[in-house]
Amino acid sequence: MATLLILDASSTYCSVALIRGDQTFELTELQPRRHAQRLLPMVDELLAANGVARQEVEGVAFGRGPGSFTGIRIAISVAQGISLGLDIPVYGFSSLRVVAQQVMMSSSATRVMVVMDAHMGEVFWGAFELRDGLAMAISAEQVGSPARCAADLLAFDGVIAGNGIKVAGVVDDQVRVHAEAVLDDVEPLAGFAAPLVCSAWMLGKFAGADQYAPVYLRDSVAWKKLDEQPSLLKR
Amino acid sequence: MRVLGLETSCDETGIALYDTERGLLAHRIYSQIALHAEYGGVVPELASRDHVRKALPLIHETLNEAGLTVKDLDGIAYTSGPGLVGALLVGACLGRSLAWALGVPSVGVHHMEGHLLAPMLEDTAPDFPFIALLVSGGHTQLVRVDGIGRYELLGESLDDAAGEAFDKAAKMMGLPYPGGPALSKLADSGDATRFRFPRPMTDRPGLDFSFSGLKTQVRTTILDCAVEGVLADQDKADIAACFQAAVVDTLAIKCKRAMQQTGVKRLIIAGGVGANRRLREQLQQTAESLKGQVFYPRPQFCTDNGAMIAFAGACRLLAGSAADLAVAVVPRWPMTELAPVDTLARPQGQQHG
Repeated sequence: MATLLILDASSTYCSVALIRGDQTFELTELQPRRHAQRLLPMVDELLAANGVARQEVEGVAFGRGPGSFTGIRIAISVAQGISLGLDIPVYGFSSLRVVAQQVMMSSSATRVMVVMDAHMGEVFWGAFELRDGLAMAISAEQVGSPARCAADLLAFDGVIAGNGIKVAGVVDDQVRVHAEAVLDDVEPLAGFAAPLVCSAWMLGKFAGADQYAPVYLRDSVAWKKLDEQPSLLKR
Repeated sequence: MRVLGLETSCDETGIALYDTERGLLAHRIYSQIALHAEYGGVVPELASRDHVRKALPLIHETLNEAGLTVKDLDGIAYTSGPGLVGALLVGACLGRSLAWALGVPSVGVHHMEGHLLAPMLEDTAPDFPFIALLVSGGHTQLVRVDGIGRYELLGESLDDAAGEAFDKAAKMMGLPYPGGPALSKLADSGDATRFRFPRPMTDRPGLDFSFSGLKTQVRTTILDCAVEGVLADQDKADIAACFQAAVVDTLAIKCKRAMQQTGVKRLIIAGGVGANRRLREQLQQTAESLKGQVFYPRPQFCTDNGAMIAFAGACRLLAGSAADLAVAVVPRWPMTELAPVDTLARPQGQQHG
């Protein structure tokens, strides 16, 4: 296997992993709002701890969201800088998919609906199924109200995972009874992205840094347009 | 030393390549004006997203124009404050990690130091010491500059920045975004003597500014002249001309006072409002009346740009300044906290905020 770096800053964790031969090494810290200060130092520490020179890294993968908008921008910016400086390709993976992969690797679950807190009273969610050892998306990733998510959860057979479960209105008693299991403490960790990243490498999905963009899902901003703002004069 | 500069502190993505032997090699500026126009102001989240889209392609274009690759870079400079935190992080994380990957030093540059040193990118660069008038949408400051990193704040705005006052006045008149340049254009066809607008804080000693009262005056005048919510074109032009004259006079009076108080005869103008033609003309007269000289960056380097960051970064990198791996941006950062370049004899860690 190639030597690959994995970065994830989409949650309150700052997480980096290194794939080297058939091994994966991970460094994860709980660093709310300090991703920029820790991500690059952690990459440097992880390489040094495993005796890998930065020039040996052949590709860099990053959590492209959905998740913390600032966090995913920090991850993509660091990935872009490393890609440009080392002349290596990048791959952006879904933060929801990593959580699903993590649940499938840690349990016998084969179907996982991941729900993450999107703040502003909303959640991100998406469903995944285990195929050949990998979590594969079986629905589009969405952002919306807890009620809309809860309706999808009631229609879903499998495990529900992710910090969005703690958001009020997502998981009620009915959903809890219906679900195979409810795991609210799973966050995207770079090490669990390793199987997804290895597969992407083999399939030639690593590409130029401009080929992967952040996935925010929420595209509206809480900002009034000019014609909605008060005006001194008639428009 | 060849330094790549990245500026992403607000609504312009600026990338430039500066060579300490050969000068500016190439630069690119992408303005997000169209993106923010429908909101009538910069929306921070949209600004951050656009920097992510634009920074990398602009770096490629800049390198291509210079006929160089990243392997030819000896250092990276990025704006680390002041500015919008989310926007700053994009350029800072990209720049810092690029430097790490290349194994070259990098430095976080103070945005206003970039503006302050921008006139030094021109063929007729001022010698130290000089007085700098920094006027933009975010700042109005008078600074005495005795060397790189040797800054004494002589005065600043106690409320709105001059550019902010321009933008707000323009918005009240219903002018298109960005309002400042639109207001200046309209002022050309107005009578600058029709209304008596104050020259705030010029009737007392000191070099501080205040522009919020002037804004209120504009509001009152608009309401006095408007008929059923409609302002006649000539009224609009006259208000614009009177407002601009008031701001320009105030800035000129304080610049003159600063030059007289310090005995420094060189004046530089930097920041977005520095592109204002009336301001340039009047400060030229002010300086001439004191037998002094005025220096400006070219208009495209008055607004935010990568060239000034590459230049300021190169000065600091040459002096041995070097950022550590922790990327820290500083949304609020007084320029007087900067270290003079001649005390940066050897590489040192630098962490802000």
